[in-house]
Amino acid sequence: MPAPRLRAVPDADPGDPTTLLLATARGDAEAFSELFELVAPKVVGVVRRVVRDPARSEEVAQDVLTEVWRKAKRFDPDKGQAMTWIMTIAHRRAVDTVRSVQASRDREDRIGRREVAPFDATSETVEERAEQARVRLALDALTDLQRESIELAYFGGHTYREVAELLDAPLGTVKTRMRDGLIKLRDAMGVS
Amino acid sequence: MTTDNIHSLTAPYALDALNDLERRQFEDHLAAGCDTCADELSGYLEVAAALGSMHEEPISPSLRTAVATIPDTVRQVGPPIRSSTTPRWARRLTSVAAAMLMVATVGLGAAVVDQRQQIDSLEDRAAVAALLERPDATLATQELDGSVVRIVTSEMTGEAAVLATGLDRLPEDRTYQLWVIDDDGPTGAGFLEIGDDGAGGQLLDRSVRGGDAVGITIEPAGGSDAPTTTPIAVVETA
Repeated sequence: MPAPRLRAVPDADPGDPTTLLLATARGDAEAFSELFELVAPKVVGVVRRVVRDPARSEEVAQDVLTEVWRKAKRFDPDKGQAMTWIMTIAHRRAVDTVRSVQASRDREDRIGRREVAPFDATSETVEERAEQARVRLALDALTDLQRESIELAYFGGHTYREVAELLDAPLGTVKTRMRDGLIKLRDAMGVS
Repeated sequence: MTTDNIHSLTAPYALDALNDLERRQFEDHLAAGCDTCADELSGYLEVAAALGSMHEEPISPSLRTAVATIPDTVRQVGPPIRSSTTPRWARRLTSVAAAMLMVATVGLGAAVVDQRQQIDSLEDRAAVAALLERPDATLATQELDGSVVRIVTSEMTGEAAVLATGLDRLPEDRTYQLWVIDDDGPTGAGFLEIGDDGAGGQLLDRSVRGGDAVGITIEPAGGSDAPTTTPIAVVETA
C-alpha cells in the first residue's frame, strides 16, 4: 500500500487548485491530472474565445497545460491564486497565437463590437454560475467605451495601439479606459 | 519610455495588450522591483482571469489523451528564482539596448551575452539568468554564417538554455525545433522562438547530460518526432 501523499496545506480542500498545483510542482502526476480536470474547461474556454479555430485551440490548450506542468515550481502561492496563474498563461498563449497567425489588418476586418457571452449554462456547480454572473454584472457597470476597449484587447487579442486605431481614439485615452475599467471590475468583484 | 509612462502600461499588460517591445520594457520595469506596479498588476490579473473564466468548454477526449503523456515526456524546470538573489545585470536584460553585457561567473569565466537577445517571458528570463550565474554552468558556442548559437548547461541540474542571434525569421509553417542528442539519438526539446531581430533565448524542455549535444533544425510548425532536415547548428556540450 503506497504511503499517503503529503499535501502542502493539510487543512485546505485537497481538490483546491492551489493545493493541486503545489503538488504538481513536486512532480505529482496524479495531482496534475486532477488539476487538469478542474482547469481545462476554463483554459479551453478562454483559448477558444481568442483563437476561435477549434483545432488550433486544442493545440494551444495542450501547450498551456504543458507549460503549467513544466513551470509549476515557479508558481508562488504568496503572489496569487493558482487559477489566475494558469489563466494568465492560457491567455498569453492564445493572444500570441492569433498575433502570429493573422496580420493585424485581417483581424481588424473581422472585429466588430463583441457581445459579452451569456453566462455558461453548462457550469457544473451553483458556485461557478454565481462566479460567472458576478463578472457579468461587474461588466455592466463599465461604460461602453471601457468595456469595448477591454473586450477588443482581451478577447480580440489586440494591442492597446491597435485598439486606439480601431476606435479612432488617442493612445492615452485607451490606456486610461482599460485601467479605469479594470479598477471598476476589480472593485465590483471584491478582488483584494 | 519615461518612468511616468511605464506605469500606464500596467493595465494593458494585464490584458496582454502590449506589443513585444513594450511587453519586455514593462517586464524589465517589474524585474527592477516596482512594487506599485506589481501590486496593481496582481489585482488586474485576477480580474482578467475572471473574464477568461466566464466561458467554459467541455474537455475533448483527444486533449485529455494528449495531456496524459505530459508528466512522462516534459521536464519540470527548477525552483522559483527569488528576486533578491537575481543579480542586477540579470534584472536589466532587455532587447532594446545595443550595448554588450558582460557576464562573469565562477563556472563560465567571462562570457559575453548580447543584450539584444530576446527572451520570451519574465520567468524564463530570470531562469536563464540564474542558469548563467551557476558556478557549474558551462557555455558552448557555435558560429555559422551570421548566426551565433550558444548553449549554456548546468552539470548538476541538467538544465540547459539556448541563446541565439542572427537567425532568419521563418515562414508561418516552419519552426526552429530544439533537440537533445545522446547515444540513442535526438529527442525533441522544445521550440525556439525568434524575435524580429533574429534573436531568441529560452530553456530546453529536456535535461542535458555531459556528452550530449544540442541541435536545432527547421521543422514544420508543430514540430516533428525526429529531425527531418539537416541541423542548422549542433553544439557539443562538455
